[in-house]
Amino acid sequence: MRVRAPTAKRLAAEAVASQRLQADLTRYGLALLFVGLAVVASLLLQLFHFRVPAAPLLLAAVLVSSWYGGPGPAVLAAILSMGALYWYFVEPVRTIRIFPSEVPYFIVYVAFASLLSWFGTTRRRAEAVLRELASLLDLTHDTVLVTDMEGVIKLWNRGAEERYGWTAEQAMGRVVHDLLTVPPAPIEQIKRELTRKGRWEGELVHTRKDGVPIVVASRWSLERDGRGAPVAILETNNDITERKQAEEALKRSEAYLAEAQRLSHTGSWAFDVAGNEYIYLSDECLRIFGLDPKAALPTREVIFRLIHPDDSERVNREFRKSVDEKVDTSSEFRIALPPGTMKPIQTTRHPVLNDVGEVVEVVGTVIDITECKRAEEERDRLRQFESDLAHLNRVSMMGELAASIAHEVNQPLSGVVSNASAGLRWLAGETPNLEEAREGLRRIVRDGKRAGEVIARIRALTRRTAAATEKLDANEIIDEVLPLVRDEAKKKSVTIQTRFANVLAPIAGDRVQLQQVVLNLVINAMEAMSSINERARELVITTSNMEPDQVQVTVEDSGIGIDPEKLEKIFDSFYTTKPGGMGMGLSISRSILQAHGGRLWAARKDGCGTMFHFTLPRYKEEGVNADAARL
Amino acid sequence: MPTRRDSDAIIAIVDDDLSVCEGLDTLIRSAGWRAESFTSAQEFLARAGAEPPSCLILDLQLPGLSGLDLQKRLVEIGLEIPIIFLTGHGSIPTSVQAMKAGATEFLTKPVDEEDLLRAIHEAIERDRRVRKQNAEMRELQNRFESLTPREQEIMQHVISGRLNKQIATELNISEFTVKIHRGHVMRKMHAGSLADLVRMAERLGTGARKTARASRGQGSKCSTKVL
Repeated sequence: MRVRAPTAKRLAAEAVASQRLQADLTRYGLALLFVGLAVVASLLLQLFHFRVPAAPLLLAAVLVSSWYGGPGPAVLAAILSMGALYWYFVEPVRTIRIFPSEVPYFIVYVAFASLLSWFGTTRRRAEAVLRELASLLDLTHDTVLVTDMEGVIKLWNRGAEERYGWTAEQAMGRVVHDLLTVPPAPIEQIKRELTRKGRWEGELVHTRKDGVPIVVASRWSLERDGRGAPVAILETNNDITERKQAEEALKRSEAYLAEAQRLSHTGSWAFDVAGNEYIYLSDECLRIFGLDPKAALPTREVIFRLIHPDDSERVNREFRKSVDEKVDTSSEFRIALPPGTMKPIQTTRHPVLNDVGEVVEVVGTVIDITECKRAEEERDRLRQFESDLAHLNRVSMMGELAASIAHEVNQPLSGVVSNASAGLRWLAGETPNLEEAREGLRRIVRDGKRAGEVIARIRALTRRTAAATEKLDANEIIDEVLPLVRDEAKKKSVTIQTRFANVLAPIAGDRVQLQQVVLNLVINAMEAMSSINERARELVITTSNMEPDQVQVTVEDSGIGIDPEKLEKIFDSFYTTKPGGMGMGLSISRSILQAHGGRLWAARKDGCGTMFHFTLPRYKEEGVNADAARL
Repeated sequence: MPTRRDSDAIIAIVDDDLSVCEGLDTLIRSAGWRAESFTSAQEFLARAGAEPPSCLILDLQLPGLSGLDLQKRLVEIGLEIPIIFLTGHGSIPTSVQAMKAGATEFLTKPVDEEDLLRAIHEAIERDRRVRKQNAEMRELQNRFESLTPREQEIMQHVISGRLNKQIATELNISEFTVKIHRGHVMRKMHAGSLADLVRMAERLGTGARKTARASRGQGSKCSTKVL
């Protein structure tokens, strides 16, 4: 293997050498042949007694040899022809003796032969260069064509063939403007300029053979003859259709971008760190700052002076942070607008690094957030309104339950008063009964606390507080509110029954809001049963774990039920069936549950009555599985 | 018939609220009575059968059978216990209804100690009266029933103010026989005089209803005496 490679190389080199040798041999052989032919022809002419001098024929052989063979064969042919001339045709023949008197003749011959061989070689070279040039012209992708002053095509290169689809044969002799359908008006104008300056450059629309118009960048130059008269026009055309389209597309996309910026009130900018100046500010950016987009690019100072004095230091600091720490930053600030108004702006910055990691530019956006702010305020107002409404609902429920709640406080108070009175009696007299008195005091403490708890619950329900999420037990939530409706239920002859899941997963939510939901549902259920006399008025509250991660609470009654088509309608605001009802309870309850990530819906009960179900997502401890947390 | 002393009186409490029950229980015991607590009307009814209580403290709003229902039921079964109604929020219509049905008192929670004890005293007094009158009535009836039909007939004539001769003529018997019968009547009825017999007859004739009404009137008089 190691031997073969050099062998192959050598073989290749040998092949090249032998090829060259062969070419040389052919050239020299041709010279030999031409001279030989000239000698034979001269001898034959002499044999048939045509008195023709031999020298011109031999000189012709030299000329032909130099033409085809180059300088070497020309010299060979000159020497051979000289020898042949002296050997065959100069007396005494068959000898090579040069008499002094013949020296001039000899010199003239040599000179002539040399001249001929030089001429032949030069021509040959010039022709090769021309051939090369022509093929180069064909190689170029540019369209090159030459016309005379009337526009008749004289040259049509391959580039032109490819570009327009016309072959050189088809194009030659045709008038170029007709062939490519260029309207005459610009042609006249171009010709005028061409005559004045000698050249013209511009864009033209040409039509290809297949009828497709193309945009070309055209260069014309005028060729003049020796006396300065114009003779021909050289025209080169470049197809710039794609570039043109790309330009248009770019222009369009820029327009879209500008439009998008205008619509979204978002401007963009670029800041040169070394020059400490803005190098780009989009039109929208300038409009946001209240500057004229058509005016010159404003300086950094102009921009920073517009920022509200209270904000400018902070904005500057945050800007520096992007440069110094090479991080993206954003700031909100206000700009002062002429008529004493303020505009809230948000800007985001991104540092652009060079190859060695230095910050060279900072690019960013500015957004007019007036609308955003307004929407935010609107949202806040709406939230406030919602919370007010929920509060109103709670207060109105408390009003509805006032008698029941009063009773619930009065019962333990009654116990307290009795126990205290009894206690005084147990202690009076000659032998105070301390054991009875102590027992009474214990009950007073218990009953007092019980009354206090009810009052605390009412206060929590009527207080106007922000929602707070905590880990809650749904059973406990229900247990806490049931005392508030106990007396009401008794009065309405409603029995309340709870069927609680033994192990209920904890839920996440706001205690007061969820108690509000339960109260709404319970009050509604009692209401729904107020006209029922033929069957027991039963209210059942069930809790259960729902897979995969929900807790469900169901409040069912044995009331009059709801028409199937109204099962959804009851959740609408201001929809009510109760005289004097606000129609907000269920609507508020539903939005409370939605805010908790839960659901509230109603269903008809088999038999009579309605079931209200609601679900709540299980409480998930951060990073810890809820089940594990429960253990 | 021996009258019971105050400390022997049983006061029954029916209230579904434990705090109320326990409070009343100790208060009543501290005042020297015996107390029995029940959390529902049904529970109380199940207990009745042994010695009836002297006074019933009854919550108006009980789950299931209400206070008024229990009151009605007691009247139906003839258990005449003085009832003190308790309510968290007394409305006039219900209190009127309760009083009409014979309630002794109508008090609102939390109950004033003195009001309650006074009411209990009254109730016990009234109960004692009723019991005493009922006992006398029963005695009188027993005496009356011990008379022979002829003696009862003679008694009717005697209390109408007729003379022995008139009665003898009417019944077509001898005046002497009338005298004998009359003597039996006076002795059997424990009547010391004709006026005594007339009063007894009057009480027997008007029956239990009249007796109860009279005792009610006396009861209220009595209460002022106690105070």
